[in-house]
Amino acid sequence: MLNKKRTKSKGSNLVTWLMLSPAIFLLVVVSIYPFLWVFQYIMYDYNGFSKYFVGFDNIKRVFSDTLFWQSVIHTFEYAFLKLIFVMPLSLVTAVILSRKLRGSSLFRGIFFLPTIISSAVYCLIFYFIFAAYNGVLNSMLHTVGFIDKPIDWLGAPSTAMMAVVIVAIWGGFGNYMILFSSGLTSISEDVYESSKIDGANGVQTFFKITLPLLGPVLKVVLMLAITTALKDYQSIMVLTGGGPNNRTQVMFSYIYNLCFGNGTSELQIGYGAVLSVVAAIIVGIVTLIYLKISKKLDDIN
Amino acid sequence: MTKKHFLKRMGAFALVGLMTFSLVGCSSKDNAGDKTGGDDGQSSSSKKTKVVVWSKNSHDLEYMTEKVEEFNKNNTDNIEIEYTVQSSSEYQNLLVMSATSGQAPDIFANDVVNLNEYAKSGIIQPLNSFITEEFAKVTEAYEHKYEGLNSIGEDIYWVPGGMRSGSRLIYNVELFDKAGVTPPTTLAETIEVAKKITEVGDGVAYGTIFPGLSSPFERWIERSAELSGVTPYDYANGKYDFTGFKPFIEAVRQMFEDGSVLPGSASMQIDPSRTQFATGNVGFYGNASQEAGVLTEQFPAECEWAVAPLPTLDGEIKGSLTCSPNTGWFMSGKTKNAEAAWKVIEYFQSEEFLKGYIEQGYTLPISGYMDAIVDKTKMGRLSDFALEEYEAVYPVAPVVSPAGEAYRVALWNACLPDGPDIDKTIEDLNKTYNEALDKDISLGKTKRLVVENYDPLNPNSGTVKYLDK
Amino acid sequence: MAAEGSRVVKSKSYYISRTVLYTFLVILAVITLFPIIYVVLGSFKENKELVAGGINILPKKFIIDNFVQAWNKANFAQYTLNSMIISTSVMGLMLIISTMAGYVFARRNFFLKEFLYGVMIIFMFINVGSISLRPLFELSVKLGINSSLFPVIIIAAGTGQATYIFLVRGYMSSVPKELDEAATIDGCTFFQIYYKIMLPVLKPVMASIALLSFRGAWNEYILPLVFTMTNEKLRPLTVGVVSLRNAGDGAAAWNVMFAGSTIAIVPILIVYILASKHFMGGLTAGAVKG
Repeated sequence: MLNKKRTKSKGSNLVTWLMLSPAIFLLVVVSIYPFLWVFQYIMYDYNGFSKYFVGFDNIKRVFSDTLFWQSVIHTFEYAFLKLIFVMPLSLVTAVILSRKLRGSSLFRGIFFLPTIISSAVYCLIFYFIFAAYNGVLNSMLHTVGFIDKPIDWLGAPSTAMMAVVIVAIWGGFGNYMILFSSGLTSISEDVYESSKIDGANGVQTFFKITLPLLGPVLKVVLMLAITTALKDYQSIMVLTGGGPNNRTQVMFSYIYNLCFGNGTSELQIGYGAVLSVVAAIIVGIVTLIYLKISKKLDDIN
Repeated sequence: MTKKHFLKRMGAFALVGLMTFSLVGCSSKDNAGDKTGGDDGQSSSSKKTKVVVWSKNSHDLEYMTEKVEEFNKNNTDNIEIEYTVQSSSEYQNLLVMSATSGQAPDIFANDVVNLNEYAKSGIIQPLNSFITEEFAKVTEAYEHKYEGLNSIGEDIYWVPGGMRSGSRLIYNVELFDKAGVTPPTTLAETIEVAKKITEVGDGVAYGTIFPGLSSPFERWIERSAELSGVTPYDYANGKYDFTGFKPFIEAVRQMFEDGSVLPGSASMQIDPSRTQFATGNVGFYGNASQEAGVLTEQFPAECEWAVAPLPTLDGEIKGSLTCSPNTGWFMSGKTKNAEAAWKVIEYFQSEEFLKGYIEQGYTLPISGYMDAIVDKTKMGRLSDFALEEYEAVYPVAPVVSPAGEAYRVALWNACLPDGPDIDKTIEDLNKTYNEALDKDISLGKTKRLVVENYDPLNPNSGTVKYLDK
Repeated sequence: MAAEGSRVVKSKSYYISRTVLYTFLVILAVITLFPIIYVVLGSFKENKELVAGGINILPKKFIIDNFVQAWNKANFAQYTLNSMIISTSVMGLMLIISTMAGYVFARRNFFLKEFLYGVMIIFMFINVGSISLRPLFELSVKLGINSSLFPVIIIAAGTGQATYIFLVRGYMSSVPKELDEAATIDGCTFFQIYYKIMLPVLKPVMASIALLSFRGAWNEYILPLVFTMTNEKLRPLTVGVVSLRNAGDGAAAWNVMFAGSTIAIVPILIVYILASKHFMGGLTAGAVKG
C-alpha cells in the first residue's frame, strides 16, 4: 500500500516537471543563456568580427562615460514623465467608464485601440504629425493661432522629450486603463451604494473608497508600468533615434547603438555588454526600492 | 531524492521538453521553410545556378530589374540572378550577420566597410584572379585601386564602375534672384546669403536646410571643410585632429541662430528635406550627384535650380573634395558559385551595361574608357555634377573605436543651437579618437597611417606608410 | 415638496457632471483616433503630397495604387503572412505553456518551486535588453534554424511567458481547491484535471492571454528586425513598414509606407473589433488578480 502510494506520487512528480518543462526551456534559452553570455565579453573589445582582450578598460569606461549616465537620467526622466501623466489619466478614465455611462464600452474600445498597433508603426505616424515644417500638429496650432512660428517638436532639445512622452502616453494609456478597469470590477457595487447613501459625491467616493480598495491592483500595475517605462526604447529609436543631441537617448537605445550600430561607428559589443549589466542592475534596484516602499506603505495602512 | 537521481531526472525532463517543443513548433517552421526553400543556392529541379545579389540602392531599381530580367532570359551559362535591395541603414549589419550565419549573398554592392576585417573574416574575397583583359579595359580596374577602400595591397576586392561626385551647393535660382544674391563662396557669405533669402522668404522659404537625421554632417559641412584643407585625420602626422572644424561648426550654428535654417531640420530625414527644396522652400543645400536624379525623377523640382561649388572657409580651395567610387560589387568569400558570381559581376560592369547605367544618370563615369563612349547628352542634370579637377579619393583613415561619440555625430550636435560647447566637443574628440587609435594599434586592430610629403590638394601623391606604433 | 426639490437640484448637477464627463471622453477619443485616421487617409495620398505635409488630412485625390504597390512590389502579402504565422504560433504556445505552468505552480508543491518561480519573476524585470538578441542570433545560427521564423517565435514567447504564467497562477488562486479534490475522487489524474477541468475554468484568462500574446507578437519590431535582416522574405509587417523609410541613395516612398502601415493596422483592427467583446470580458476577468 505504502509502496503504491509512493510510486504514484513519483509519477505525478514527473508530470509536474513535464508540464513545466516548456516554460523552463524558454526561461533557460531566452532569459538565462543571454544573461550569462553577456559576461564573456565584458573584458573584450568585440566588433562582431574579432575580439581583443582589454582587461578592465570597459568597466573603467563606464565611470567616465557621461553620455551613458546622461542616458540613465533621460531614462528616469522619460519614465517619470510618462507615469505621472499616464497613471492618473488611465485611472480616472477607468473610473469614469466603470460608471456604466451610455457608450462606455465604445469608448473603452476606442481607448484601447492604440495598444493593438505596433509602436514601430505608430511612431512613424507621429513622426509625420510632429513634423516641424507643415506638420499636421503645427499647421493646426497655427490655424487656431496658438503659435506663430512652427515648433520643431522632435528636433528641439526643449520639446523632444515631451514629444516622445506624448507618444508613449498615447500608446500606453489604453493598456493601463484596461488593467484598472479589471481591478474596478472586483470592487463590489454595495460599497458604492452605501457611500451614495452617506451622501458622498463622485470625487469623495473616488478618494475615500475606490482608491484604497484599488490599492493592491494599483501596486501591481504601477510596478509593471515602471519597469516597462524603464525598458522602453523601441519607440524612441523610431521617433528620434535618441536625438537631438542625445536629448532622448535612453539606456537601452544607447546600448542598442553600441551592439548593433547606428551606421556611424564600429560596433563595441564588449562595452555594450558591460553597460547591459549596469542597466539590468539599475532596473533591478528600482524594482527593489519600489517593492520596499510599497511594503512599508502596506504596513502603515 | 539523491542528487544523482535528481540530475538524471532533470536531464530526462529537458529532453522531453525539447521534443514536445519541437513538435509544437514544427508547423510554423515548415511554413517558413517553404518560403525560403529557394535559398539553397542551387535548386536541383531547374538545374540553374542561382546567384544571389544584394544592393543597398533603390534609385537605380528600375534599370537593375530590367537588366537582371534580360540577363536571366538570355544568358547562356544557365545562371539566374536573384536581386534584392536591402535597407541601406542596416546594410553592413546585414552583410556581417549573413556571412556569419551562412546566408551570405554571392555578390553585393560596394559600401564603405571595414575592409581589413571583412577580408580577414572571409566576408569578401579578392577578385584579381577573375579579372579579364576585357574587364580591365572597360573599368581600368588596376588604375582605380584605393587602399582600404577597395583594395588591400595588391588584392582588389571590388572594382568601381562609376563615381559619385563630391558635394555641391545646390541652389534655388529664383530665390537667389529674388534676394539679389549669388552663390556664396566663403563661410561668411554663406551666413549672409542664408539670412537674405530667409528675409525675402516671408516665413515660407528659408535660407538653407540640413537633413538632421540622415548624415547631415558628411553631406555638406565635412566636405566644405575638406575643400578648405581640413580633414578629421592628420595624414602628415598620423593622428586625428578635429581642431580645424571649429569655424565651420560656428557658421552652421550661426545660421541656426539667425533662423535661416528651415524649421524642423534637426529632426528631418533626407527625403522630406529634398521635398522642401523641390517645392521651392529652401535657398540652398549641399549634397552629391545623386541629387540630379532625385530632383528630376523622385521629387521633380518645381523651381529652377542650379549647382555651384561648395563654399570654403575663405573662398580658396586648399584641399581636395572627396568623391566616391561606386557601382562596384564585392564577391562573398563564402560563395559556392564563384564562377557564376563572377559572370554576374562581369555583366554588371560590362561596357553595354555601364553605358546604359551612366546614361540613365545613376552615376558618373570613372574610367577614361567609359567616359569616352557615353553619350553625355543623355545624362540629364547629372552633367551639372561632372567631376572637377579638385576632386579626389582620400586615403582611408584608420578605423578606430573611440570611447565616446562618433565624430560626425558629435560635431553635428555641436552645430545645433542648444548643442554642446564647440571647443569642449573638439577637445573630447581629439582625446577619444587618438586614445582609441593608440589602443587599437597596440591591440593589433589597425595601423597608423602616415603620408610623407602629404599634399591636401593631391592626397594620393605622398608616400604612404603603415606603422605598428 | 422638499423631496421633489432636491431631486431637481440633483438632476441638474447630474446633467452638468454628465456633460463634463462626456466632453472629456470625446476629446480623449478624438485624440486617440486622430493618428489612426490620419494614416489611413494618408495612405491614399501621393508621395509628394505626403512629404510636403500640411493641414489637409483628406487626400486631394484617392490613390489606390499605393496599396497595389505595397502589396505587390513591397511584398506586403508575404509580410502579412509572416506576421500571422508569428502571432498565431506565439499565441498557441503561450496558451499551452502558461496554463500548464501556472496550474502547476498554483496546485503543486515541489522541489525548487519558489526558487524557480522567483527566477521567472526576476527575469521579468531584469533583462539585459537588446544585447540578448546577439547570443540568441548566434545560437540560432549554430542550430541552423536562423532561416526560419522559429527563433523569432520562441524568443517572443520566452520574453512574454512570465507575465502570463503570473496571470494564470493568480487566477488559479481564486479557483476553489474543492474542484480539484472532487475530480481526484472521481479518478482524474493531475493532468486530466488540467485539461478537463481547469482549461474550461481558465477560459476568461486564456482569452486575455490569447489577445495579449497575439498583440505582443504582432507588434514586435526590433526582435524580427534583427532576425530577419538577412532574409527579407521572413519579415513581418512592422519590419517591412519601417524598412520602407530607408531607401538608400534615392528617395523613400512614403506613400507606400503609409499604405503599408494601414495594411499593418487594419487586419488586427478587424480582429480586435470582432473579438473586442470577449477580449474586454477576458481582460477584466483575468488581468490583475492575486
